[in-house]
Amino acid sequence: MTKTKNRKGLVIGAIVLVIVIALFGIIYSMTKPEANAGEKNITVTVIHKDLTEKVFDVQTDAENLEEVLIGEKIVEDNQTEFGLYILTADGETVNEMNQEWWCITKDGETLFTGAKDTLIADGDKYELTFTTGW
Amino acid sequence: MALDICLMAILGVVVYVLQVALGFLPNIELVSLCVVLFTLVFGKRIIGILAVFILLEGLTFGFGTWWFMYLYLWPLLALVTYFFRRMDSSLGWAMLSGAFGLLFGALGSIVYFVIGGVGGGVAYFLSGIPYDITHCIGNFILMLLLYKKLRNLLEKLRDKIYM
Repeated sequence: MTKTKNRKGLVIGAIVLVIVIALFGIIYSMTKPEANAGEKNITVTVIHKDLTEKVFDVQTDAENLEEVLIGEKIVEDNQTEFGLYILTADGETVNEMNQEWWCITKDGETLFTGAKDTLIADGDKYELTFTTGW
Repeated sequence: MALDICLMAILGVVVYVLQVALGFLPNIELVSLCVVLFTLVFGKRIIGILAVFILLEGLTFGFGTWWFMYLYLWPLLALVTYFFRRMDSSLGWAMLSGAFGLLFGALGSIVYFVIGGVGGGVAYFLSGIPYDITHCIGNFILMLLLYKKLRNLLEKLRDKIYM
């Protein structure tokens, strides 16, 4: 009797798990951003330590921000196990010992996805700001 | 007491090394397996094990937002494991571990809801769904394959240590 009860529980658990996985898959496919095909005009502004700015107006058919930053040589390609980790932007390299890093924002707002997962669209404006302190 | 402290330290380091060793595989990890097994075999000592593990993670990779997630995610898995401690089915534990992997992103997004508002939390959760599904499958397979053998082995080791 107990064995049947346990088996029933396992079967129900398996069905629920499969349903939740399917649900997550559906939610993701409905909400994932679509990359715009064709040429896009985007702006990347690099704000240096001395607060000088360099604006890169880019025409690209790249799909994500990482492709733009590396392809247009705005940043040096520094790949780690976690993906692109920007140390040098527009020729200026941060010193991690001083807690320096490059902060990426879009229209001044914090990005919650990495450069590779940030799909770009025509008219987007990104900023790379030299930042001190974690 | 001294034995417990040494055991918790060693096992905490074991979990840490396993996590770092598999770090190159996105969301494929043995930490869930270890948390479940150590909770079942060593009981409350999992608290000390997790403390060592989480501290080592922070010292190695920095105390970022992900670290605050670790503060509640792994203890939560230990708690759920303790709740289901009478279950002895590999399939059952595989499903529980898989479910934990699937919900890892959703549970982790709580931190982003706090620091980034609703938009931040939702963005974090949605963008992580493919990784959560990978995490679910990885956890399921690893638990299904390794639970029985490792539990038997750990129980024998525990009995030898505490005889």
